[in-house]
Amino acid sequence: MRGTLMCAVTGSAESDDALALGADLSERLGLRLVLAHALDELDEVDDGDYGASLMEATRQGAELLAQLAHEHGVADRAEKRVAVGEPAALLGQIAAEEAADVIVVGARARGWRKRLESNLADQLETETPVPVLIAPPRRRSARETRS
Amino acid sequence: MTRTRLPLYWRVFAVNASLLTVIAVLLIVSPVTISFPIALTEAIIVVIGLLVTLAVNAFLLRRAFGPLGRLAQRMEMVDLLRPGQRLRVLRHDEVGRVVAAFNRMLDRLERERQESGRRVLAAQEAERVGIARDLHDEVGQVLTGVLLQLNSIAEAAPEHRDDLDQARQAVRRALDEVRRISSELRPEMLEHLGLVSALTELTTTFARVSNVQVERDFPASLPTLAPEVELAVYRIAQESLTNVARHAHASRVLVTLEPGNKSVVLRVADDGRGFAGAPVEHGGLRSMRERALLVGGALAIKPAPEGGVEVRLEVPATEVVQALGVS
Repeated sequence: MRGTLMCAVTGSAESDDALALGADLSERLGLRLVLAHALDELDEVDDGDYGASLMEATRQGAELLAQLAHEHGVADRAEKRVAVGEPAALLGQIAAEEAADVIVVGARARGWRKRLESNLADQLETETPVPVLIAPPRRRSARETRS
Repeated sequence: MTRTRLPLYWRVFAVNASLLTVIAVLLIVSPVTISFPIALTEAIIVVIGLLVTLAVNAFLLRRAFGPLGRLAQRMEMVDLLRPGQRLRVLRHDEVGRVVAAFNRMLDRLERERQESGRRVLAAQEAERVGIARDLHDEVGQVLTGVLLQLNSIAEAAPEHRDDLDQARQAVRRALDEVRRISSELRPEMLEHLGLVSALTELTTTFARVSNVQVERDFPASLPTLAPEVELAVYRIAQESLTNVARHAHASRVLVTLEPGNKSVVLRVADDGRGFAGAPVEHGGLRSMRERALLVGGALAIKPAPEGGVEVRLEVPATEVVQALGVS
């Protein structure tokens, strides 16, 4: 094993680009692949039971990672991490724990509203000394882009 | 890329001065008048003007003070056991200087924390060696003496043989326990035969004591590790197995060593009940993280593929450790 590549997965089309690039690079370079999904703080807590809501959110995150890993053909070799909290801080933390050599993230989302959101790659720059690679957007249909 | 800007004081002053100037100019050049008592349309115009002024003021001040908010957020979140978190210095004003000073302070704190942690662990190891020696040399010798005495008494008083046999068995069990505890406190196997042999002994003893089935996968050769790194790997494996025995309700545990990228990777994965969400890190887990940090290692405690918990530790091989300056 020559190193570790970590993919930041959010479920968006842009993070799908990151996963595709990460899967391809890790296979070609013989790197360990870690898929990390950081859920933002829980907005809704079931009946005030934070623990149960956290478990449910973690379970859903794990399902999303398993599904995406299957779609990208890396189900058998990708390691999966799910965490709940501030995404950039958690992704930086996971990168440190997994001894990641590079983090692959999606490009800034398109659309004027999404542009207003803070860029994950920019945020990661302050959270971790691990280099961040931004996956270029793949060509996709207008309908896919709108969704 | 840093940008030179006006000092914060002058930027806030400029924002307010600009707004007041715009309002003054508008009042001078526009035909707006305010009568007494005020008319409804005039009141509406004043309220709209006020709202626009407040919105512009809030937007501009937010830009000026935003970095301070991010700095405060970082200050609340910083954890010295997770080094490397820094803020970008984007400009050369008071805020930029505060951010740079904060980053330098984190550098210093992380360095000092590492130094003090190393001293504490060294003292802890020395104390363990002392206790192990005392147990072996003092308590072990006394128990051996008691055993010999019991043998003599058993020969002299055969009518009490059954009672004395029970006493001798109890003393032998105590001697075994003393040897086991002494060996856990001072892993002599690690010093004399290396990490793989020490972990083999550790896992064998663990399987016997805990009744948890252990699977080992150790390669024939591994990159060379510095002695303190080997000790950290051994202690983290030991703590992980202790946690498996205490909390996991596992039937099987997998312990592997494998070469990594100029590193060695230890994995301890069980098939127990795992944890909900994220593990609460205190006591043993914090100590594991501290040990990993001190040797420049990376430690992950996460759900295992089998459903339990996996501890993954990656430590740098010798040449990398030397480059990091770990002594």
